Amino acid sequence: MAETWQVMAAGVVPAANKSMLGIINAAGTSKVIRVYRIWIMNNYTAAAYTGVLSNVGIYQMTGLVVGTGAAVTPVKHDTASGALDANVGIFAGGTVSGEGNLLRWLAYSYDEPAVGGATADEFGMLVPVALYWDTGYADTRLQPITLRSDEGIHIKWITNVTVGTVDLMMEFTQASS
Amino acid sequence: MANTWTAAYLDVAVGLANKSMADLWNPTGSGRILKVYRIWCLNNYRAGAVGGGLNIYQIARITAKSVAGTPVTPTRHDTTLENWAATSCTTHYASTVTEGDVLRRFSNSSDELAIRAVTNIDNWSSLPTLSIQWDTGGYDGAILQPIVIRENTGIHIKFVSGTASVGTLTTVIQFTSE
Repeated sequence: MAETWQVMAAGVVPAANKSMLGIINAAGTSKVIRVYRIWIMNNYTAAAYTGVLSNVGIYQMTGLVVGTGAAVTPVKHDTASGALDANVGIFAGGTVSGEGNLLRWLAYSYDEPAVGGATADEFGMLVPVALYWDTGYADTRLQPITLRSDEGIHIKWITNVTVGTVDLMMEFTQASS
Repeated sequence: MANTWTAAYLDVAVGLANKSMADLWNPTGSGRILKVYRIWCLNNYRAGAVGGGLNIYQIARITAKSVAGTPVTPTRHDTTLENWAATSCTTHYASTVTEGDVLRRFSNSSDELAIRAVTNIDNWSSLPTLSIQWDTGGYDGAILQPIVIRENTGIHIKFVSGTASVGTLTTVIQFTSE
């Protein structure tokens, strides 16, 4: 069983074409990173804001640096696992280069959830429902997103909205091959 | 197949910020490795209108349990295997713990359930299928590691904050001891 890691970027504010969360397996790496699951959680519980039905894309890319964003530290599922390869970078709000193929296109009901609510906004609070990528997890016939040297993916918020926040989570493994 | 357990922390009161709602601790010298596969956190509140709110919780590692709260005894799935006391591991709620790395955040509603109610987040939060907050380990064999708890470590589910500090949370943790 490969070393497994959990990434959580909490309270990320969207913006037009913003890289909300990305992972790059930069040149010099000795590992292969495999991304199994990605969640976008509507965990906002503060004051109401004017929501906007938004588009979000999951893209391949070949470069990611922190820029004006922030590094996100992943957590090992097993404390006895080795360290993450130093060439693996994970950033929220980072600067992307070499954006490539679109893997998935989403429409996201971006508005604050409410107690007693029964809308898509509240669906976004539910972990099983807010799972936007899980290829390769429950079906070993399919490959997860495999990141080799100078390969990465990021979750890009397309729509122009700069209020509220979402939590983004990613689950991945690190292996020698 | 590893010795499998279900620990149920029933109807734990929501309210205090940073309250430890459920913990699983593996002490030094246990000789055991615990592996957490699934965690459900459910809104099973039924005791009348409560004016609940939206709450944020997090699943995090703990590095110490200095004051044990109310004990919970996990149920073994096979009664022919060792009992809980033999593992030396402990499960409580409302303990005083030292928190380490945060694995996941999630939110739910603590408003009361209602029979024949319009389907909404209050009632969705009571459904195990929709309220499974951690589900790593893979259905089709071992793909991803579960949360591995070695000696002198543990995990807990913490109430971080909420818009109304009322209602309860029922946590169920499914894990193995090896």
